[in-house]
Amino acid sequence: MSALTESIRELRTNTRQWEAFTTRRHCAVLAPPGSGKTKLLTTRLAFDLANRIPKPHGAACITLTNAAAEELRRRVDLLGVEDRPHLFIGTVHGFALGRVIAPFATLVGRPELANITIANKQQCLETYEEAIAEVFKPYEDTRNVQSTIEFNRQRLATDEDWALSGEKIQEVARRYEVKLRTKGLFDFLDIVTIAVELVERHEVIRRVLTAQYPHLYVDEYQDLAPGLDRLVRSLCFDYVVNSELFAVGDVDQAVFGFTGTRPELLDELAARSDVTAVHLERNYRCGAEIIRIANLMRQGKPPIVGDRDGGSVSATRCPNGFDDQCQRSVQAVNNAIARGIPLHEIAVICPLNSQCGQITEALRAAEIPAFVRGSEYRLTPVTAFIEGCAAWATLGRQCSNYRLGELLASWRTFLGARWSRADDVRLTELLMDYEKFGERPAYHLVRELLDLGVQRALQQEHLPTIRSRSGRCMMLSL
Amino acid sequence: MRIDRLLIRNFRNLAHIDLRLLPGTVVVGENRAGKSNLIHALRLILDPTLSFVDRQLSKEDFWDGLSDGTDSWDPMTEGHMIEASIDIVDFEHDRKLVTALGNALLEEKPMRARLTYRFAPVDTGEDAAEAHKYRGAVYGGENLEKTIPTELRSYLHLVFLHALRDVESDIRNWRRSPLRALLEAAATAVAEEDLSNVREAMREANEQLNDLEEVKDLGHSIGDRLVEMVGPNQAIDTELAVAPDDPLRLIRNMRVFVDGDAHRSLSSASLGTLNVLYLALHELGLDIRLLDDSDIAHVVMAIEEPEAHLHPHLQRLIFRRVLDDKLKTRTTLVTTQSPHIASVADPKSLVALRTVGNQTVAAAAQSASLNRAEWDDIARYLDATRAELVFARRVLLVEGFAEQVLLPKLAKSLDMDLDKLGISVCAIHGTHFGAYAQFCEALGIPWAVVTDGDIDKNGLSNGETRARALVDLLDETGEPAEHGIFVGDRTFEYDVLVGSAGNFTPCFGTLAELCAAPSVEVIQSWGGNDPGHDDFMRMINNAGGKGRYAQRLALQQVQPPKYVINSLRYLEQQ
Repeated sequence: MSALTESIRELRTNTRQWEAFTTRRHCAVLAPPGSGKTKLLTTRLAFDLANRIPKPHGAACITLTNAAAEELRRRVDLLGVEDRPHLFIGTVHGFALGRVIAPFATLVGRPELANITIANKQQCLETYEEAIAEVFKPYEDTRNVQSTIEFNRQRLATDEDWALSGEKIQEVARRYEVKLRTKGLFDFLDIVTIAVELVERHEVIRRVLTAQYPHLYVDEYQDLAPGLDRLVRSLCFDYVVNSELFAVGDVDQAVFGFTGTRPELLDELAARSDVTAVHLERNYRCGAEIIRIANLMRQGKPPIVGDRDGGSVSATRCPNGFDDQCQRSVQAVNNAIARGIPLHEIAVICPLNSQCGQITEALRAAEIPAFVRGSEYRLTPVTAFIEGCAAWATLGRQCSNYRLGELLASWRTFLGARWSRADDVRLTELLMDYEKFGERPAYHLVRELLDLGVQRALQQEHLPTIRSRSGRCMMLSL
Repeated sequence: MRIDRLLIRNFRNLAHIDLRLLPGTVVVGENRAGKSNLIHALRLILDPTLSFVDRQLSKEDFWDGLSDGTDSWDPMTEGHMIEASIDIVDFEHDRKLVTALGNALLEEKPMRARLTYRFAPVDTGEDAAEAHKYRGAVYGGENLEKTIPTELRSYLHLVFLHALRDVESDIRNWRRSPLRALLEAAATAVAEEDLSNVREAMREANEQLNDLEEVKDLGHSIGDRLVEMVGPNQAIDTELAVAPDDPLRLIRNMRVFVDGDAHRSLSSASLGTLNVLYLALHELGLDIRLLDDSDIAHVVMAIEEPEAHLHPHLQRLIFRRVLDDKLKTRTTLVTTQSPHIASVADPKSLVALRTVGNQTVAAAAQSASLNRAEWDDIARYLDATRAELVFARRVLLVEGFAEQVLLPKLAKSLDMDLDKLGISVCAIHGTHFGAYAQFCEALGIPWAVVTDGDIDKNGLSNGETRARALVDLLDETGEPAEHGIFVGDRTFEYDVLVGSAGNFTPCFGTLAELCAAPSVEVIQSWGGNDPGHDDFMRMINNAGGKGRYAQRLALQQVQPPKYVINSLRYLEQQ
């Protein structure tokens, strides 16, 4: 049986998943953690591509982070989906830049947007600092200025909303934008704002996009900025031609509310009369005990139904402060290791970044390798590529979960027009010969990859987006 | 959808071509004028059968005119590029085409898309550019960094029919055969019940044949001989049958026979018949694909010199149909040297290629601003005259048959051979030269007009008025003769008579030959002197009209009048 048929058969055993899978209009799926939403989303996408979306039409599947996009792509590939030019699986920003702004900027008379350069984190920070220094006195507390501005921009705030933040903050926001443009740069928030503006203003873009992507799939809807919500509404709830929307998310899992996203947009979407809302309730991930505790915390919401036995939740009182908590955690981790649990299946969760740092030090001091996702480097296509190279070179070709062909394809994408066959050979040689170095720190590999061409690729100006072999759009930066 | 414009730069002898196209375009031009190159440029953009490698050109494909003349010159070290692009319009209502062309838009309202093939140095970001790395690829819109994938381009399906194809083997060869798609479509459409009936009938037929004593014996002998040769273990099982009884296989194995009951194979058919059959199968196949299949939205037919082996009547019949612009799902481009094909084309759709210096210049008839009646007039004229005008290097537009017959003869007395000079004398049967002059102008054919003076009763020259009006129409100033418009004094025949003293004898002699006795007496009464315009013209009437007179006079030696000499000399200079 093919992977797709198998996957559809499994969905059939779950009434709610099956209901969502068979809905033939706009559909919003409210999916608590572990309820199989990624499987539902990818299976539905694969099925629609095979049966409901004739070529040359395609589909756009949008999520928030590069990591999530990578996972979606992998799952879709496993279902045997054949690539096509108008199949987009990627991030909001990738879609806004690669499928909205770049292709249509010149057409609608904004040629300056056709090749825009994205500012990196450092450039944004410096520009904010310059603007703040011009507006605020040195003794004033400016700690929240940048986050307030970004919050408002993320929300596509109205003039009234902005007014609430005060004149000085508005002035910094204006100056920041002017300064960034003078440097010839745009930031990620700009990308979404511009895309919304283009789509809402130009019928031709809506007409072409709804023809190219008659089906729109959105993952983690609760974490998407209001800008994307506007984009989705323009494409799916317009008067003329519409794309069919399939959105999944969970208001309770909103983790970016502090940056200005509005999780309640998902509830609003689900409440529309032209949208079928489906509530998933079965959890496939956790043991019964964990579900029991979780239901206690869900207060008043429909309870989640578990699917497996086991699980345990325990609370340990640590009267001697955070250091004590660290020590107990190290102990718990050691116990888990002793029970034969692989390292990458053990997680430690803290409320603050600083605490993550502290506990990592404690683990390392106990000679347990630990890693803080997100704090040391961002997961971008380039860092993901380097991780893949490292895994393939050291873990062995079969068990690394990475395929050389895919690594080489990304490699070609990074190098763009500079790529030649010799580059493929050099990368392959480097990775295949890596064993002979024995054990040595990871930065050697990073250095060698940088020398081999990653450095050059990162320096290319005006190449914020590139088209990969599969026509997907990605953004480069480290 | 239609292709509105074709732009080519630096490709072989097509240095710079910018053409507006109509749904059915007929490209005419002499050998080596660049007709095939034009089609190849179109294929570089659209043909799905060209591979990536086929799109990588070489230095021989660059226009020679770019050269600095030295032997070591190489267009690819200089960084020159070859470009060919088409503009596409009228596709907004087709969602498939909007999808395919959405990233190639140039204008939003109405939508206009551009596909550009470009063979150019790759920007590698390296400064040292000693040897450029070239790549040929197809891009969309104005963005020459983003290629349009073949998969999307193929929704505009280009079918290329090259000039001298081996039709028989094309039809035979299952992979290339236009019959294949038709048979497969038919096979899938047949109901299961009908199929099992055929299967049964076929089995029965096979069994009946195998029941014949002689056939049975033969079957046994084959089997026995095989066993004898290699032993029972290795002998293959053989079976005699007329055809497999699987009806789907039967349908796929069907072939086209000709000549009715005789069932002759295609090899016995004439090349012309095969050409017609090939076109018919292709048309049917495309119809099916456009209807059922979702993989093409529009067909672009590029047909190269299809006239070979086709009788003129067939050429006219078939291409009247092929070039029909009512078919919105098809764009046709035909190159031809056949006046028969050009004569059935919409004159607006004609494109002439000619060599000027070291490059090809293209001219589209549709750039002439004529009204509908005038276009219809030209269409009828081209149809009736087999489009001779279109193929001429130079055209002398005259009023009637008499001029057409006499002018080659008059030219000869000036030692000019009109055929060698490529001058066609075209009688438009009237004095409405405007439309014809503009048509020639649009196609880039040098032209001159010879027209009568036609003095009216007030002594005014109508011809002169006509000539000045024509100069105005062409948006020019100055004397008519500067623009190739030459006016006689009175009427052509009379002007020939008085044009040279030596012409009286042959003219009067011819008249006398054609006239009855009473008229002959009158001619003799003129005593070899000018009888005056009106009497002379009346006598031509008596002699059976201008046409008859001119045909007979063409056998004599006559000198051309001054304005005719001027017109011929003028054309010779063009």
